[in-house]
Amino acid sequence: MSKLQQFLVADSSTLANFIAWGSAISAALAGMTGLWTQTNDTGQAVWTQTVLSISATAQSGSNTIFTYTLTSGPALRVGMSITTTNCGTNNNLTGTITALGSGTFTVANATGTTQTGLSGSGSTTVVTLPATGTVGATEFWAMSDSLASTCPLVMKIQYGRTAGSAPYLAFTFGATTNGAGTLFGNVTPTYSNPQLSGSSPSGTGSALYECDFSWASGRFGMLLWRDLGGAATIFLGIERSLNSSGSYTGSYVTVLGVGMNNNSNSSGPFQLTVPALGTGGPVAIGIVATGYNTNNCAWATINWFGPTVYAGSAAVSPVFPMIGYFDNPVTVAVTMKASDQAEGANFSATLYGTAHNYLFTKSGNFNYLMPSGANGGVSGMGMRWE
Amino acid sequence: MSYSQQFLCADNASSADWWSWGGGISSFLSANGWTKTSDYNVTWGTTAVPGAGAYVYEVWESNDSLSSGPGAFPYYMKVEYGNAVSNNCPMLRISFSTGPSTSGTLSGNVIGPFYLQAGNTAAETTGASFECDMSTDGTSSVGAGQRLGLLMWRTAANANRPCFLAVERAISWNGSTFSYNSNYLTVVSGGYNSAVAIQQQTLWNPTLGVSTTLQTNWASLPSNLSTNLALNNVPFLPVFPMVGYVDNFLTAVGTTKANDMVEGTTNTAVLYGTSHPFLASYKANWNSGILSVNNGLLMRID
Repeated sequence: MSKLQQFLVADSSTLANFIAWGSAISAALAGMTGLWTQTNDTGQAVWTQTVLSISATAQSGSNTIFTYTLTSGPALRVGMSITTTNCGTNNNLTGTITALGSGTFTVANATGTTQTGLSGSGSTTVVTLPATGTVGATEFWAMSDSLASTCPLVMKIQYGRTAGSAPYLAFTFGATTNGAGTLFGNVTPTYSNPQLSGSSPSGTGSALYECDFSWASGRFGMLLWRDLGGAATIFLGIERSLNSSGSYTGSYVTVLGVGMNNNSNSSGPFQLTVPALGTGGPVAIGIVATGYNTNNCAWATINWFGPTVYAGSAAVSPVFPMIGYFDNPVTVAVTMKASDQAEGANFSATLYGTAHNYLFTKSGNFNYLMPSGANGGVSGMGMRWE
Repeated sequence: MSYSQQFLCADNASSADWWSWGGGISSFLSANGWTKTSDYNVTWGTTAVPGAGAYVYEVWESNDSLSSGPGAFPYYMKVEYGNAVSNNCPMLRISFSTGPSTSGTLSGNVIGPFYLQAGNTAAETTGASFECDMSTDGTSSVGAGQRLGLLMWRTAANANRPCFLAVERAISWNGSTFSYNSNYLTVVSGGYNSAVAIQQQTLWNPTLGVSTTLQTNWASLPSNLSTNLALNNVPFLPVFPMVGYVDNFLTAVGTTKANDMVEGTTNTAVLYGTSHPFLASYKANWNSGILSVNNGLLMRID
């Protein structure tokens, strides 16, 4: 179990700011060893340029194998686009890395030649600042825990810039990809924060806001720009199905989101179940089309119509997977009545007989996790924080 | 366990009709393990229809295994049968206590009354009878008190006539073994008292605490969809005791989307590893009340 707290800009008005928050999310995912592994799909974002020195090439059939040493930047990855120069006849190109070896990378190049004693170079192509209202970068992350083969899940993340130059994030899920940036198998709708167009929040320049990540094998939570509040704070939680003892199983994956009602300024909570392949299609509840203050959007959590504090104890409600039946609750998030906990507080809740630490938020988007009736707009959320 | 489906009148226009519904409830309790205390002022077949706006009552005592012995938590249920002010409609309200009653006054921790039917709806046809469903854990030979479900006049013509009450003790569950414990009693109701009244409250064992404040809806799981149907299943949405924490959910009642069930049908749900039959209903007094809109209830009928 691990957690990471960073302070990031909430702004896409400059390339530096866009890279600052986008690359931080990407780096956080990359650091979650045993949970996420970036796929080799082509066309994915490169946040930091990698520069290489190339000393030789070897032609093998229709492929050219380049021998290199790393000059700067992150390690190469299959699927990256790379540009080579000063590498000899027919070896100066821009192509996609199809394989990696020890100090080598391979690019399809039917007319390449074998060369030695080169003083060549190579570099990857980094992201550019997206135009307002567009997506500028995409990544694919596959769950790589012990249940990945039983119930695979790939998360597609799109990073962009809203009309107001605020960060734009969109998430789509599927079982696998085709290697060229297309999801396959149980592909879900896309859920995005409400900032790509319309009366969206604006970027906030160089100001830094708290961003929280928490993960373990089988579980992922991400709470972005918590202390910015309003429509800007978003949450994504992902967790595998659990048995009655709280151990993970490979039946399905539950995805929870807040603040992601696409292009509407809605609070945008959604709950999604992605079953293992062959057992059914994705099941979604809780997303609504419009209305930031809607009282009609929900997670499958207990609605609070009455007092929740008894004998000094404030009730914590689990969130239940809904897949044609209600199943054992997730641990990645719980809900509480907003008045029962302070913003940013840490608190303990016991699930499956074990006490877990949670980080609480009740900023605008999180007030509507349950239908509200006469006592609406009262919820908050705890993200598992350990 | 006992389940009884009866067809009872929903009016007080005659003594026979009055005795029909009041006596029907009383007879079910008496025949299925509940103990009628000496504190009552109605004798069915004899007592005349009360005056306008008046009630008569019976006080019943739990008689299950948790009602006696070390750590016992017996409780009392006061059932009040009445006559509406202006239209000879039934009135029905129920209260609970941890101590016995004297002349109808309950003692100890007290919750209620839960107004199932305040009589302030249009009259039903005199002499007509309507489906009433009653379910409890007891039998003629085994005492009751763990669980009770009461769904009155489900098929009545008046939209706001049907009313519902569920009572269930706290549940222990370790993943394989189900049992009741003596910590508290949960009461949920759906009825009509000038307006739809959906309520939930906890009666605490007096050795553990005082009773919780009345909730104005049920602590169940919401859904803003028109249907919860998924992968060919319709979920049973549980109702949870709210006692400063979320405890093991009730088996006496659950909720569902109105679109997912056919009114009056029997459906099966597996709870705590055991399959139980449930009667589906989405009448106005809970369809418009439970979890805000477009919901129904599932009453356990075994």
